[in-house]
Amino acid sequence: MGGKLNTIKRVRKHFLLYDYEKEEQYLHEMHANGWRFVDTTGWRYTFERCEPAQVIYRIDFSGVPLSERDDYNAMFRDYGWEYLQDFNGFSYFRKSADGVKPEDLEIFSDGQSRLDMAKRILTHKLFPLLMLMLLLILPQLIRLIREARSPKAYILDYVLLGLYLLMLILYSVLFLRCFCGYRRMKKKYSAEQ
Amino acid sequence: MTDKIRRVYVPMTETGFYILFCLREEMHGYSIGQRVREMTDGAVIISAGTMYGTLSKMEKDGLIRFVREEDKRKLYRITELGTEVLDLEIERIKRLYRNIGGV
Repeated sequence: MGGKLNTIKRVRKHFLLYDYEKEEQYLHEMHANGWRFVDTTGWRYTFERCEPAQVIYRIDFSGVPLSERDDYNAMFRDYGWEYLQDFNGFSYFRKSADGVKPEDLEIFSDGQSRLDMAKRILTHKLFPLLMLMLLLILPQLIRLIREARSPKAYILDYVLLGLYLLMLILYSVLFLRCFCGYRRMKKKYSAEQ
Repeated sequence: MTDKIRRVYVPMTETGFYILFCLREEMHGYSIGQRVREMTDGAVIISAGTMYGTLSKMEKDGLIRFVREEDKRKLYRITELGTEVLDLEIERIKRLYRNIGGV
């Protein structure tokens, strides 16, 4: 397909933990517009030029370590899914929608297994995030507050305190947004059962 | 059979029932999915993620056990506990069928 210069496209984009359905939809739309997904680093998506096609993307969070994926990979392959990559515990798959029944374009066939996946993200990703906040940021913050209140406080103590406060706020916002995402998905999947 | 098993598996989802029913023979996930599709004329579909998750859960709970590997695919078979649960389900469904006027 000579002549075209732009055959690779990089897009800066990020999806939160519970926005995987939005991400699937995004990758689907890109492919329909002639951009095939190559890979993601979580913050940047790489696409390559292709013929526009109806391709379904699905993202799983199995909780299975990469070293124990033989059976898992074989099963998804048998079901017609092309494995693309793993990122942050999420596995990316795609399948051409051409002549395929809608029920064969899903990786979950009931609300319960979707809910199970949402819960796995909670225990593998969201709880560790909370632990990080409680164990690393909070004790430092308490120590810094103490130091800043002493008469011998330096300007640096205030700067550090400010930084840690900012970090705590950012972490809290991130955690709450993700947790709300979990609640949203839980409600949705429970209605499907 | 423990209370936990009873609470989780009795009554059972259609997906769970057919998987246990198929595993009276040694099978792997995808072939179970195909078999169930044939048996139900496509009415019951078990997708890849659901199949993988259900098999893992049933293995952990001791309803089925891993038998061997074939081309990287795990083959499973029902255990004694699994058979007990399955029989309970079959009796329940038979009763249901009788009570709605079946034979």
